[in-house]
Amino acid sequence: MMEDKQSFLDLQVDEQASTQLTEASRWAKFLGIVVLIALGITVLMFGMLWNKLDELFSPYGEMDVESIRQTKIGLVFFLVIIVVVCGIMMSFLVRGANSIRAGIRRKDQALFNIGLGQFRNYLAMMGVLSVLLLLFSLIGFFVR
Amino acid sequence: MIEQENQSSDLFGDLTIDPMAKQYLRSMAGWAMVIVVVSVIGYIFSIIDLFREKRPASFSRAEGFDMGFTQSSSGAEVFTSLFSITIGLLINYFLYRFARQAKAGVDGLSQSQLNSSFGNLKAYFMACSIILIIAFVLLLLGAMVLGTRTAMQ
Repeated sequence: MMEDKQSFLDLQVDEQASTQLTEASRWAKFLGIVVLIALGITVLMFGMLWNKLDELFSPYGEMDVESIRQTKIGLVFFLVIIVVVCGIMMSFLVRGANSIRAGIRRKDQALFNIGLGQFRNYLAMMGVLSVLLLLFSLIGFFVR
Repeated sequence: MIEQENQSSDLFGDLTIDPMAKQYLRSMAGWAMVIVVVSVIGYIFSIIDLFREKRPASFSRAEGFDMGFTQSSSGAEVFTSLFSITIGLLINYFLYRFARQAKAGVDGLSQSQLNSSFGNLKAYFMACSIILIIAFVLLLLGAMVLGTRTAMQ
């Protein structure tokens, strides 16, 4: 009796919630895939322009070979970090979207919860990154 | 008998927001609020940075004379920054509404608020996707124009 009352009072994934969550996960998956494609294109373009980077740096004063090499290594390091971080974030988003949609379709509570967990991971990672970015921009703001 | 049980199970919905889902939703709402607050602080500093007087430009001292010129933001720079901030605020508004309504829905067992929060989550992802696509198209167009100019020279 107590359990019945509890389940009746509990929040449900009703028709409206199902529709909204399915749409949300569809857009989330789309966003994740678009970002992953954009990252892939960026890496490809970087690879294609690798040999032309020396010409790009030449207008900015006289740079010796060692400085150009160090700048290129720095750029690669920066790009790898961005690709890895964004890749992990987008994988959370895509996997979460898939799990939520499958969970709703199959009415699988465990899968649905896994999807919510992946979305939580995405938001948590984004939160940490935004705090770090704010700290860096504040340092830049007060140093200038 | 089994059929009847299945029907009643479908009627009341097999999926519920169980304790684990509630925990995830609370956590999502918390992180979403962190993102919103941090973004708004960042926008405030961006606006201050846009209008504050910057260091004298290096060219003004190139010949050893400090002419007192200051490097100020151009009109285009101000417009671009304000436009970006407006779009950022719009996106964060959806995230803020999601965070507030999801927390209120889970804590107050309000089905309508929870459903509304999912609607805002959808709007957030939709806005992010559309803006990303527009930025991507503009970037491609810019690259094409640059490529054409370089080829013509």
